[in-house]
Amino acid sequence: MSFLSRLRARRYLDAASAEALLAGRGVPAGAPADQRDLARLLEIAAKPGSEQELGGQVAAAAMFVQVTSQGKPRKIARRVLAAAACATAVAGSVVYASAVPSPHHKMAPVPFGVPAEHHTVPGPAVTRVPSRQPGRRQVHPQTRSGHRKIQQAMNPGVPLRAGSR
Amino acid sequence: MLEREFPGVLRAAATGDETAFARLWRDAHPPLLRYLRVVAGDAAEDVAGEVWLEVARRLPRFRGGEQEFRGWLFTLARRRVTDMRRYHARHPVRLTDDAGELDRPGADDTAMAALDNLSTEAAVALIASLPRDQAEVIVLRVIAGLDVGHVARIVGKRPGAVRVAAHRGLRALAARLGQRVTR
Repeated sequence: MSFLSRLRARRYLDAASAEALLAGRGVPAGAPADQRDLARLLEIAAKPGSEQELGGQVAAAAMFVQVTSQGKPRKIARRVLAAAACATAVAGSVVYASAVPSPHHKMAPVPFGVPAEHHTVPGPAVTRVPSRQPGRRQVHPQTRSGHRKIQQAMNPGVPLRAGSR
Repeated sequence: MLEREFPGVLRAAATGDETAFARLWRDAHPPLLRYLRVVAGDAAEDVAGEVWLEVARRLPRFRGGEQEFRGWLFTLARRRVTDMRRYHARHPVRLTDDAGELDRPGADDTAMAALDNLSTEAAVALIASLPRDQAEVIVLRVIAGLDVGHVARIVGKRPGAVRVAAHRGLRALAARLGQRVTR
């Protein structure tokens, strides 16, 4: 670049003209030739996208769909997990509350089937041990008298058979 | 620039609308590609793809208007190029070779005739032949359509320094074009 060229450019292209070019406002009609050429050059450089530049649009859209679809399942899974955790916590607290025995009862295995109202033969497993109340003797199911008392307590309207155990 | 349509298009794209994203891409990809040709040379396409991937991931969290979006887009691009340069420190990025061809004026053509036949790629290559800081701010101002403030934030300089670099670059370009006229 020669000294005269640089001098000419500096003289004609002041700050205001330069800003007008950079902002896309072009140059006034009577501007020097090199400024008009400069405006034309910048105009060409800022043209709308060519077909070649826009040729990757399909790939870009496919990338976008893949990225956004990867994000959604994670969100859904997180919500499902959070809901399941809450449900488990609530259900667990209900089960716990119903399963915890009263401090006055002892846990005992429940026999199969529903005992008949008037069965006289004691079940193979101990069904329930009566709670011990202060001031009363504990009734032992293995003794005859104990069994009778239990039977009477379970079936108040059924008379005891003679000889029943 | 989408201007008035930008807020609606951005909102739709942020919620996963593929068509809206395509509009953003069509509007901003050519300027992005041209900027990357100036600062990243042959790696422009690859870097542009990485930039759009990051945009797609972070778009739902973006807040701002069109200038802010472009500023964000080109900031991401510049960071990618910086990372790339550091990684490939032993292999300098080569700019396009068209600038050399343009510097040599034809035997009978006038400057305007030559400019009328000038392709966008060649015009960008001519800008890219300037010193890197001057070329970068001219591309961001003229091709990306960003104002001085946003350009300053992208390149990490004061607005005054950005203006000085841009004006020097324009004078250099004008002088080259003036040389073509006088010969």
